Amino acid sequence: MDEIESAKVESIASSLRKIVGEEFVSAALFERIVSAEDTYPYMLREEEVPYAVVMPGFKEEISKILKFANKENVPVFVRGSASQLAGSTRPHTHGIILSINRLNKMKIFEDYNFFECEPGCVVGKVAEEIGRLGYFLPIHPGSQAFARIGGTVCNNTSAHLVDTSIGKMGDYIMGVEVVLPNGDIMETGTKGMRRPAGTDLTKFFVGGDGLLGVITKMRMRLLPDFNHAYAAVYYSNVRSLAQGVQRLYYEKRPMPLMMELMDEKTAKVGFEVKGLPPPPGAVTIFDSIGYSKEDAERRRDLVLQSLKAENPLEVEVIEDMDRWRALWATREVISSFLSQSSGMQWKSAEVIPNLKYLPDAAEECEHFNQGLPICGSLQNYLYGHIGAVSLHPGILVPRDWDGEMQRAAYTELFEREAELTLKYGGCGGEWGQFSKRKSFFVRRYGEVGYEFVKSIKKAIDPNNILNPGILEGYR
Amino acid sequence: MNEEHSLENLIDKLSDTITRCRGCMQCYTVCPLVESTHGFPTQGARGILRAILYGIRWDEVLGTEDKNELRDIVYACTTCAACEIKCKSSGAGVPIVELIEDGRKLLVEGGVGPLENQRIALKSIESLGNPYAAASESRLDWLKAFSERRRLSCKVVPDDRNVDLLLYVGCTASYDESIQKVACSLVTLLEEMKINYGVLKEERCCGSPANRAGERRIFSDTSAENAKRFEEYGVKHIITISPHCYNTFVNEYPELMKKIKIQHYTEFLSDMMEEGALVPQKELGKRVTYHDPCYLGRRNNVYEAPRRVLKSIPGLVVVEMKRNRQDSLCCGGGGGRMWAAVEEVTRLSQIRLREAMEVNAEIIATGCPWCHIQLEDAVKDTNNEDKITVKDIAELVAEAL
Ligand SMILES: Cc1cc2nc3c(=O)[nH]c(=O)nc-3n(C[C@H](O)[C@H](O)[C@H](O)COP(=O)(O)OP(=O)(O)OC[C@H]3O[C@@H](n4cnc5c(N)ncnc54)[C@H](O)[C@@H]3O)c2cc1C
Ligand code: SF4
Ligand code: SF4
Repeated sequence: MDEIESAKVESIASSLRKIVGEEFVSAALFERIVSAEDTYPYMLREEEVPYAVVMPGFKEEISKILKFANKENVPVFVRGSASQLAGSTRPHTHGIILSINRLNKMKIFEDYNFFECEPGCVVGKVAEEIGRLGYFLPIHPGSQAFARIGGTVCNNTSAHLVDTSIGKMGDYIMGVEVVLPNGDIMETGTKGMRRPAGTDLTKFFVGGDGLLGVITKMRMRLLPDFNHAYAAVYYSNVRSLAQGVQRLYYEKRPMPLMMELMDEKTAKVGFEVKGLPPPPGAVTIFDSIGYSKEDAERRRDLVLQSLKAENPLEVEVIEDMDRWRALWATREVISSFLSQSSGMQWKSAEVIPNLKYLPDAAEECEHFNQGLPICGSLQNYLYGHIGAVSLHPGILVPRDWDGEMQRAAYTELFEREAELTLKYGGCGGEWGQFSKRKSFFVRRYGEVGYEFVKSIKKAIDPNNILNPGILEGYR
Repeated sequence: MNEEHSLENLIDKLSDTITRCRGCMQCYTVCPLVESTHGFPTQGARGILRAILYGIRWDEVLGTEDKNELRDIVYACTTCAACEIKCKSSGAGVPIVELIEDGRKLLVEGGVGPLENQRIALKSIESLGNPYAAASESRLDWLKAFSERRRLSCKVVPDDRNVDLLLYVGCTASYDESIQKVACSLVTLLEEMKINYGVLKEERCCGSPANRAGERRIFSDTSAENAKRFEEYGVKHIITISPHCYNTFVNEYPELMKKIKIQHYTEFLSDMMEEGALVPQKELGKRVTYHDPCYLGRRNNVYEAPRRVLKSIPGLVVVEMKRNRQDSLCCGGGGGRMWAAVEEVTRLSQIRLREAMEVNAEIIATGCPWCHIQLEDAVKDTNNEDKITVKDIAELVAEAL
């Protein structure tokens, strides 16, 4: 780092220290580097190394940091657990990393039928806390154990949950508290049971890609937990399986809470890792919910009726929770296992087709990377939240490719994802709209749509202080 | 293999294996560093690994201050292996602890590691055979003092080599006044069982602290010499007081150690109880919880023997803390941290103490001198002496005779 850089690092860090206190600021090089990383394998470029990392504990401190950033014209990058999968937490220039992890308090108000929590709360912990009182958290990503509420709210992710079963997490968020880019603090939404009619400010921030403010609190309705009934169904190919899922919709079945797919090649890996005999073919596992055990079982059986019409190889009604957990684990271990055991890094894509062309899309996703100049010859796997009509092809990118080559490979895979989602008429349901996915947005909604977002961003954040790069589409 | 060659190998291995980490972040959910600090990203397994990787790839642009920062990050790890088990549970697993220790080796080669106090401790191991700067001649003072209080049949090897079992006392139980009583309790039990046992006349450190600190040379000298002596004295069976010595003998010593049966003392006591050679008689009438030391539990899968021993004591009610066995929380004393002033916002030992108190335990039992010291400090620092005490399993069994 040259002289000017280190002078700037020092001056920014010392201003931040005055705001939050000595121990909550780091200007140490390795801290700055690691705090700018996400789950991507390639290393930072030197110009991406931040000036400082700050961990405020209160919204007032965040307000002061944003005011300072505006005055000094230094970008602020907000960070939860940095597990977002489309590159949103990677800064593309020097700046301040603002970690929200100290804001981690929550409070349950059963008499109002909601809970409030700060953005640094870990999703899984929140689920556990409200679960103890008999409520279900409608946020269920594979990253539950470490993803934070703040990042999840910004993405408004459906994650593993089937949207058409209980809706998206945003449907349960009653309001948020945000610090706007200029430092003003604002509360949105309601404490009542009815959603605001007309302009609902909450909607600018839930699924707002972190563009318009730093979320410092959210309020969410308490959703009573369900009873569950489980099953697994095996097919000789993904087309039949996908047609089974279409039938659920066409035959007006109650959609399961979660319904996963693994194609045969992928399922074989998961089953082997978990020490289970190989599956006979592609598999779907699902979790039907009801208000009583009998209700859940009745719904499961209705789902099975439709699935059976597509000639499955095997139908397995699951009564034993250990069996369910083992099957669920087969799905969860795949990406980690393949990355760690091969010389490759797992890169998922998210292809969202419309319902009508789900079988075609699923088949095409089994050859997702076919014909790509960089990634065409790499291994392709397929799983997905099939009940939600969502597909996740996964590609193994070699670890020994150099950083720039890996970046190019990732970009290529995102482009392919955009192409297929455009072709099949959907829109990503999990990882936000911009950063590495910007080109989809522009192609889907046109320059008009893109300009619309840009002008809102410009109105609220004229100096482009907050999370710059996300909207511009970081490469 | 010349030095340079092996250094290159180390760098290659680190660069290759670290990139196997796929950034799933699972390790952060169990890492005691995350729990005991403000949780900056370098205070957790993946962050430490990535820092090492940048340390290698960006070596040329790093100044002294940067390197010292890297050292502090890499040496903060307690080597508790919680991350590794988590990582493995969702995939093939990254050998995280090995990589962190390799990172330390690299820092030592570069003249950056270890930490200052570790340097002093390691010097002391070389010159005096213990990390505590204590005189080697006084290593058996505890035994002499004890033998003044009761008649002992304990032999001193090699003066008398005819023993069935060697008690490897270890440095902490030899020198630390608060842990010597553990050694005395164990000796009492060996006497009670009429075992033909002995201790080494010139016992030396097992070398574990050198390995944790990345000092390959000191470790290989120490281990080679100790192993040679065990062989020369015809040792067939060793029990250790510390899980750290145990782990080092079992997993890190030269091949020739494979001929010797090595046990942690709790395993030996459990075997003896099973054979009916040791039967605690006296009612203790207390509520006890067992704290799994990392190097006995996660590192060597010894979870049940200590519990079996506790459960055989009449009147002792054994309750489990929320985190037990594989999920046990590190006390903070491992990985060379007995000689490191690592920043802790909340002391791990105090978190652990709270967990024991949450299940209303009156005693925290453990089987590791360092856990013992850490937990005892936590009891004192939080003024809980009248509510809870820390005991080694050997002490409890001896009390119940
Ligand atoms: C192994 C693994 C499995 C995953 N599984 C899923 C899955 O099943 N479904 C799914 O949808 N995603 C999944 N993800 C992606 C990721 O976990 C989620 O997107 C999660 O919601 C991100 O949370 P985070 O705390 O890591 O946020 P971050 O990545 O830290 O932040 C995400 C974005 O939100 C912004 N942000 C964060 N907090 C705030 C705040 N308080 N105010 C303003 N902006 C903020 C950040 O600037 C960034 O742009 C997975 C990731 C991994 C590594
Ligand atoms: S659990 Fe393993 S693979 Fe996942 S981030 Fe940690 S070290 Fe990497
Ligand atoms: S060994 Fe323990 S302290 Fe070290 S990184 Fe892993 S979990 Fe954290």
